[in-house]
Amino acid sequence: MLLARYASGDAEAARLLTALLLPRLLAFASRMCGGDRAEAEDIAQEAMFRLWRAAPGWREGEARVSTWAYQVVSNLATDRYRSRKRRERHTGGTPLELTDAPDAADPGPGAEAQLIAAQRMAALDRALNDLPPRQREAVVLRHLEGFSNPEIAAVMNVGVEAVESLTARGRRALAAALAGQRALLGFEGE
Amino acid sequence: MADNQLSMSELDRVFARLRASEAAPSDALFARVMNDAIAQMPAAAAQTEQAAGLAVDLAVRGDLAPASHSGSSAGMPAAPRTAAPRTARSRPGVFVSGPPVSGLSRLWAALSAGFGGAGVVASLGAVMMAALFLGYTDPAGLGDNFLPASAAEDGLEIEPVAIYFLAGG
Repeated sequence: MLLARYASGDAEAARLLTALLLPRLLAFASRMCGGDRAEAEDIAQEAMFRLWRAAPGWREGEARVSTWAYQVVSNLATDRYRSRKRRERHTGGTPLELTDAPDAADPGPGAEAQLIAAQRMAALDRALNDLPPRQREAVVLRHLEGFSNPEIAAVMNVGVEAVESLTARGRRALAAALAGQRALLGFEGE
Repeated sequence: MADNQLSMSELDRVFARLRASEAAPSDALFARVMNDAIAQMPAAAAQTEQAAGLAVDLAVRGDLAPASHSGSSAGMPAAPRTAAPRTARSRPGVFVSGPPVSGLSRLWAALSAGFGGAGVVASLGAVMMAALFLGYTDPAGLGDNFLPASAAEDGLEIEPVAIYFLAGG
């Protein structure tokens, strides 16, 4: 097991674990915090840090490393979401700053195709981000991370039935949210 | 369900696009995570401490100038070349509590490495038995050797049994 190898001083195991886990945790964190890349990087790094700290006392067979790490990301993202909401309630919303503006599209060859692709992704991200947090988490874990329902239940600390319900409602809400954007998504006329 | 609502297959294509759009971690993030990993590695920390202790010992003895090269070129802490085992396992009878810094401990380490602790103890026992034997056969001569010159001049003598105790038996 890679974590046990890391705990016994194998730096190569740390590199392999990072290569395996970090991209997945970063993508999950990014989905969980509305595409905020900087915040997602902070969360992913913190989750990996906690994994290194937990390694010496890790008991094999007690939990899957990936499930545990996703659970940490989920908790960290939930905490940040709640504190952001609290801040917004106190300040009456966060005004956009210049640094929040997205970068301009590259005006090189194929710029139009890139613009369309960017608009599609923005629409998809928006629809996903508009889901209630628990539904979004279940949908992301099921359909983007490829987790099974029992694995999602372990990450979210709920029952399998609750996962099935959250996933189904999330899919329906996502399909409804994207219904008016068939043309933008390239599904018109199919 | 509304007519223009996305079908499940279309939704699956949406998920595929979302998966394909995920950006890989930057090199900077990867480096930060690996930096944390190396810093938190238990055995590495232990080995670094041990190496630092050894460097201090050698510097005190004048065998080694204080280290000035960190071995780092990319903002990473100097990683040990080889990983130390988490717990040092000692061979029975071999003295492993630290690097030899005195002549006596060096002698002990060399002897115990060659013969084992039990062998060294047996050797010491043999030496003591030889001293005892010599004490019985030539007590005056041996006593003269053990006693300081001033004591011999005062006429003091030493009994063989006392020689046994003096020898550490």
